[in-house]
Formats: sequence, C-alpha cells, structure tokens
Amino acid sequence: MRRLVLSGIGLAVLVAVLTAANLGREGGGYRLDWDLLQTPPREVELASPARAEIIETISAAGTVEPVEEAEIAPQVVGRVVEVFVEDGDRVAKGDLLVQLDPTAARASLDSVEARIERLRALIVDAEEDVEKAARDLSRTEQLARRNVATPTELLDARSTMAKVQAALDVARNDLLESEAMRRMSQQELDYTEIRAPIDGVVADCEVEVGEVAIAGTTNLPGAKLMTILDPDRMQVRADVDETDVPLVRPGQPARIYLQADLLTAIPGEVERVAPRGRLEAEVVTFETIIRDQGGPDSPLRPGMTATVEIEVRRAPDALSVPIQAVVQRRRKDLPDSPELLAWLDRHPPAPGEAIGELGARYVTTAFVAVDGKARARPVDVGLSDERRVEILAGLGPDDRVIVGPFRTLEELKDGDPITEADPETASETGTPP
Amino acid sequence: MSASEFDRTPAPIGPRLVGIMAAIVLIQAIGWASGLRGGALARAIESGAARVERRAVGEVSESDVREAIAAHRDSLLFWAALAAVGDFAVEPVAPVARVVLAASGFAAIAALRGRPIRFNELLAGAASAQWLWVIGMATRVGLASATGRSDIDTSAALLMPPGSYPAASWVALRQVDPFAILGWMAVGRSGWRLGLVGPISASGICLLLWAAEASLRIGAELLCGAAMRASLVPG
Repeated sequence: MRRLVLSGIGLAVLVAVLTAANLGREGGGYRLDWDLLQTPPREVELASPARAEIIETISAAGTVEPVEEAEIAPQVVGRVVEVFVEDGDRVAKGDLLVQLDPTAARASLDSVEARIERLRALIVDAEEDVEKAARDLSRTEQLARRNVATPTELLDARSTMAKVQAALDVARNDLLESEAMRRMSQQELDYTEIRAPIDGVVADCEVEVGEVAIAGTTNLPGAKLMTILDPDRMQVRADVDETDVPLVRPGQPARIYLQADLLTAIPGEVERVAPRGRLEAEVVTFETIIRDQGGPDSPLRPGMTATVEIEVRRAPDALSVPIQAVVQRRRKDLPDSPELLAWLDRHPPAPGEAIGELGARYVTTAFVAVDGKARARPVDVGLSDERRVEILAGLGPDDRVIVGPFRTLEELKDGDPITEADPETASETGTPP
Repeated sequence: MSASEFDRTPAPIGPRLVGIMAAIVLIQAIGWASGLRGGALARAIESGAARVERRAVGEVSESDVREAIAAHRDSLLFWAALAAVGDFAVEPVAPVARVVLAASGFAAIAALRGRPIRFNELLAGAASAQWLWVIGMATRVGLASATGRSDIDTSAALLMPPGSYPAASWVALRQVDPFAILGWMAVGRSGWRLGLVGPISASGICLLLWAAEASLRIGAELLCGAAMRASLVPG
C-alpha cells in the first residue's frame, strides 16, 4: 500500500513538473524541417565585394556617314553634254563636274545683250530729243513774254517737252530691266556648268552624257546627279533608346564597333543628341551623332553598320561584385528578414501596381554564405559594366558573396546548404574570375 | 519464492486490456472533442492554402489558384480520417501489442534457460504497467484541453530550445517520454520479479521493444509528416 502511495505521489510530481514545463514554454518557438531527403550542399564559388573602377555604357546601333556630304543636282533643265568625273574621283571645291548644253542659255544671253545695245541707242536719241524740246520751250517762252508767240504755241512747246522726257524715262527703265535679264541669263548659263561645292570624293555618280538633267529637289527621281562626300571625316548616326538617352551628353567618350569587325574598338565622341525623339516600330529613339576619332587610319566607310558604346557614367572606386552575383528573386520567395523589409521601404511599389501582386515583385538580391547556408540579401545596385556591378547597400566588404556557378545561382534559394568549391574545380566550370 | 505465490491465480487479462483500450479511446475522444486535434489539422490545411496562394501569384491564373486552394481544403477530410485511424485504432492496440510482445520475450528467455514460464502472470504484470502510458496520454490531452495549446509535450522534446530542427530529431526525442520509460521499467520489473529473467535480460528485452516501438513511431510519423507537408504545404 505504501509503495502504491509513493508511486502515486511520484506520478503526481512528474505530472506537475511536466505541466509547469509546458506552461513555461513559449509556444511556436521552433520550426521543423519535414523533408526526408536533405538537399546536399551545393558547390559554390565565393568572393568578397571589392573596390574597382566601373564604367557604365549604353549601346546603340547606327550607320556610318561622312560629316560633310553634298548631293549634286542641276538648277536648270538641260541635256548633259559632258561628265568630267566618275565614282571615287577626288575633286576640289569649284571643279567642273558636269556640263549641260549651254546653247539655249547662251542664245538668251545674246538676245538680252542685243536688246541692251538697242536701248542704249534709243536713250541717246531720246536725250537729244529732250535737249531740243527744252531749247524750243525756252525760245517760245521768251517770245511769249514779248507777245510774239501765242499762248497756244507756248502750251504746245511744253507738251512736246513732257512727251520726249517721258520717252527718255521709258528707255532708261527698259535698259534697267534688260540688264536684270542679262544677269539672269548669265546665271542660267553658269548653271549649265555644274561644279563641286566642297572638297571630297565623288560617289553615287548616276549621270551620263545625253541624259536630260531635271531641275528640282534631290527627292525627285532623276534630279540627283551624284554625291560629293568628305572621306576624311566620318561620323556614326545612331538611334539611342529613350530609356538611355537621359544619360547621353555631347562630349562623352564612345567606342565604335563595326559590324565587319566587332572586336576592334574605334574611339569616338558624342557630337550631339537630337532634341526630339522618333517613333519607329513602337520604339522611341533619339538620333545621336558620334564623331569618329580614329584618325587618318580609321576604317570607317560611309554606309557601314556599327554599334556604338557610349560611356555615360564612371565610378572610379566603387564597392562592387561580379555581375552574375546579383540576381532577381520574387518577393514571395524571400524570407521576411529585416533587410528585405528595409529594401521594400526603399523601393515602394510602382504607381498602379496591384496590392495582390506585391508578392510577385522582383527584388534585386545577392546570396551570401552564412554558416554553410546561402542567405538572400536584398541589395541596391548602382553602375554596372560587362563584369561588375556597384553595390550601394545590402553588402559589406567582409561578406562572402556567392558568385557562381551560373546555374546554381539561377536556382539558389534562401537557406540552401552550400559548400565552397575547390578553386581548381571552379576554374574548370568556366566561371569568370 | 513461496508456495502461495506459485498458487496465486492471476486476474483475467482480457478485462484489464479492454479497460486500457477503452481509456485510450476515451482520452482520444476528449482530445478530438476539445477541437485541438482537428483544429491543428485545419490550421495546417489553411496554412498550406495561404502558401499556395502566396506562391502562385503571378505564376498561374486566378482560377487555377482558386482550384488549388479548393483541392487543399478538400484534403482535410482525408488527413482527419488518417489521424482518427491512428488515434482510435492504432493507439488502443499498441498496449496489447506491447503486453503480448513483452510477455512472449520474457517467456522465450525463461524457456531457453529452463525456468518456469508464468505467461499469464507476466501478461497481467505487463498489462498493469500500460496504465503508465495511459496516464502520460491523459496528461498530454488534459493539458492541451486546459490550455488550448496543441504543442503540449511530455517528452524530452520539451528540452529543445527555440529554433529550427530536422523533424527526425524532434520525433526521436518525443519517444524519450518519462511515462513510457516508467512503463517499460514496470514491464521489465514484472518479468524479473516473477523469476523469468534476470535484471539484465529484462532490461535488454524492454530496451529492444522500446527501440522497436520508437522506430516504428519515428518512421510512421516522419512518413506521414513529410507526406502531409508535401501535399499541404508545397515548396
């Protein structure tokens, strides 16, 4: 009986102790991992953020063209009687390029000059008439004062004087008009000789002897005879996307890569940016001129296609990581860490973004190694180039950042076990240093 | 050993075991009636549904998300039925299995050593020890019902500080239960006191049976837990 009582007391004490232990324990204090098969640690490459120079560039496609270019078109209609140049000929300013038939223009000029001579003779004759009429009028006035000439004779003399003076004025005006016509005819005659407006090389010479050159704008088919361009000064006319153009300024250095040789960079400089954008295929672009600075040996030729890289920003000593270390993860795939909440505070939702879609927001993330596990760290990034990206917030110089391999980084999740790869193995995976 | 002890007729074992089974069923019924058992399952289901919704945003259409959540909630009946089978069929049978296996083990050792096989007395002693498991179960259910908490524990898992652990270690620690330990001690003591086995053999048999039961429980709990986790809380 005594043993039964003691057993009962012991059990009661045990129950009391367990009750106290349960009541004193904070509920939900631990989490259980129910995965039966644990994920093996992934081999990753680690690197610490380092300070380096980062040059941010934007790129755009364009075509090469000369800085100076003149399209040659006739200013009068005429048959081509001689062509003095062909494609590739180097010409100087003022050199004769094409001769149009001058016959009509010259005849017109001769006609006008003959008329001018005739008018000059007429003017001499009219001047004599005026002198005579003046003398007659003076004599008639004297006679009229002595009552020898009648008033009617005096009036007739005055009338005659006015008539001959008018005839002289008409002849002089006709002379002025004819001299103007002579200048026009002379210009038309000059227009039959088509000369180079600038120094350069002949291109697109499409005119042949016997053809009729049509005066008009260069947009009119048949009006353009050839092009004179300066082969020593080239530029690239590139279309910069509207998202990049706020960063582009005249004077920024650029690199020109020809489609024919994408490995060789030709130095250039931004000359100007169009003040107005252009909408093509639902994309707004701004025409930007990049001046070739490759010197006399520059391989740029008019019409070549090229890609330009414009250096828009530069950070000489930025804390940075290899660019592949920064990845995008959805908000819902990241744990609610203080770092994530701070990141979300710094990056509020875009206007119009639905509350229900906040979990689908992408968070710029880098993974760091902490106690053998990958931990997601939301980061703020700054400039970036082909190799590195600047870290503005979220990582420190002492963090060990996961920088590869690429496929592991694509699939890595917060909490995944990791192990540092042997450097020799890492180099075999082809991950850049 | 006196002659009176040899002549003592043990009480019938059947009613004792039936009483223990009835007590277990009653305790489990109280646990279900308090809503804690079903509530924990329902919370797991809702947690899984919330997680499905959270993870499916932006990935699939709204109708697919609704369909997945509905399928989740429909699975509550299956998991509740599985839990009920465990609570009302497996748990009441467990004491019987313990009693029979322990008695058989002790009897086998006694037969090998040429000692008298007092099987019925051994069954009676082992059956009486089963009340310790019942008391442990009653303590857990009573505390859970009284406090409204589903994380009540009476095992060594109580000693785990807050943190993240593999489920296997938590389930294994739950097998180190003072009521179970006392129960096995009582079972072993009955075999030793009846003279069938020595204290070392009794301890060895009890340890072996405890390890076997613990292994079965660990395996079954991990399997069900992992399956539930995989189906209710994907990812």
